[in-house]
Amino acid sequence: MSIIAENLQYAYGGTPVLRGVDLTVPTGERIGIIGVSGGGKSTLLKLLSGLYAAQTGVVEVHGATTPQAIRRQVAMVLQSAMLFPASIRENITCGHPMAEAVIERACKAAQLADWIAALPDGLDTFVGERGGKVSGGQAQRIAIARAIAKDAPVVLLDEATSALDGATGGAVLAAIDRLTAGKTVVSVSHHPGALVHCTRVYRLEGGRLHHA
Amino acid sequence: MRDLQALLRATGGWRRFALLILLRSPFDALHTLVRAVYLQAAFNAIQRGDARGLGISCAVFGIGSLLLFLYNGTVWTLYATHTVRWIGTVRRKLFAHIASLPLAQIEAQPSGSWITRLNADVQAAAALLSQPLHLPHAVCGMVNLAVSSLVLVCIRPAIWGLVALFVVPHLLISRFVIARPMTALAESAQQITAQNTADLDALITCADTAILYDAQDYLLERFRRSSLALRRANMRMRRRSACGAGLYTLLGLSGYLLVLLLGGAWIAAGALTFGDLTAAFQYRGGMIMGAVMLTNSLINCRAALAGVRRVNETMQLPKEGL
Repeated sequence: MSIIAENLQYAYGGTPVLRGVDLTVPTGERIGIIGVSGGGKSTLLKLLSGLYAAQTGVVEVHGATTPQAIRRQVAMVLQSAMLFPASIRENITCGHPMAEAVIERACKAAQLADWIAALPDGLDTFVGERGGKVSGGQAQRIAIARAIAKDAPVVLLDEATSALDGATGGAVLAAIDRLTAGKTVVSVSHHPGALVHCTRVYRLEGGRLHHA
Repeated sequence: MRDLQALLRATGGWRRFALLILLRSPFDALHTLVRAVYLQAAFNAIQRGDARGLGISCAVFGIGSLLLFLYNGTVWTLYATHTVRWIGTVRRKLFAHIASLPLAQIEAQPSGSWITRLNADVQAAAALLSQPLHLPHAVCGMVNLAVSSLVLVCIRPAIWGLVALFVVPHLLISRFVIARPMTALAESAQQITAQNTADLDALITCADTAILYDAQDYLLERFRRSSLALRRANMRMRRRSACGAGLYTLLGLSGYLLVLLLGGAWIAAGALTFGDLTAAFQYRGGMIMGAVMLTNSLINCRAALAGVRRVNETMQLPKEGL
């Protein structure tokens, strides 16, 4: 199993958001989680990604059980890509040493290669932290390139395509296809159409997962 | 100063500023005059053995000083109140202006840049009118320098010449070597402050990405680098200011010793009384103090003008729909 979550509970202050979530995802499977805004989908992803530590229950991702170890197994793409106020290159490498070929491959897979080639400073072009220097779709694809370059076995998508439309949306979807190929994927969305490629879809309701 | 005019036009309240600065400006000069006249009269009375004359001098000096400080305190209080209101107005107008900019424009700059515009730039601009040794003190120093100089040239032209010999180079060096590059240095420091704030902001706003991709050390390294650059930029300004302080010690002390030596010789020759020399020293002090206050204030004003320029630039950004 790539992901195992048992009896996950999580509360903000005294307000419970997750009330005993059980989930198992075999390696290479793509599952979807649907639910209303504020229903706990993002909290669940933060627990599965190791960003939050479980208050009660167990999370195991690719054999890792501590948040630090889990984070090494996971790449995540969020709805609103937050970029570092740095160059495209640094946003992809996150300051880690990385071969030029790996960066280029990630850019190509994220549908960024043509755009970057047209930029005077190429990969060294500065982007703002909210993608102010680039469009939303480009920022999203930089975030996807970052995730591809990490090459983690598990990919988590948090409303990754919700804010996109038209040609930009198409390019981002193609980039996500390249990112998720052969990986274990958990995708959350409040929009059923975004989960059509999932083999199983769950509904998160009242802090518990139900088959949708 | 055109930048300050533009800012005061945008925010209002410039007439009151001008009036209060004018009312505040004669204080140092009057203080020098009162002190010099008192010391001259007191030492001459001591030399004559005139105890009644000494008593009258002391009483007049006491009352004069009290009235002078009361006047200065009143004007300064009114000025400080007006300045606090003005800073609030600048911040409010700037915030309203930034809030009405197109989103694309806001997103084109790192968040640190906007935070710096609202905080550091406004503080730097406000310093021009509110902090010690800025515009109000520049005006006071100029009036003190002019009045002390005028009185000294009338009563002791030779001593005035000696003092001017040291004050003029001080003014020129301070003006052209220290004050002139200050605006560019301050602008560079403000830009680096914006970058430093953006790097700090990224530690918070991009925390999830940084944790997930193990990029905290990378972000901290960026913050460390921009903090170091900021420290260097501030050090460049401090070094210039320190040069000014060193110059004051060197030229001030040299001039003092020369006047003391020649004054002693003139007293020995009977051409000057001790009271006259003491009064001359007060006017010399007024000239030096005025010159130092003027030059230091101009150096600080130059740095503060960078903030005024950046506030003006922000205020001139076209609003959404215009």
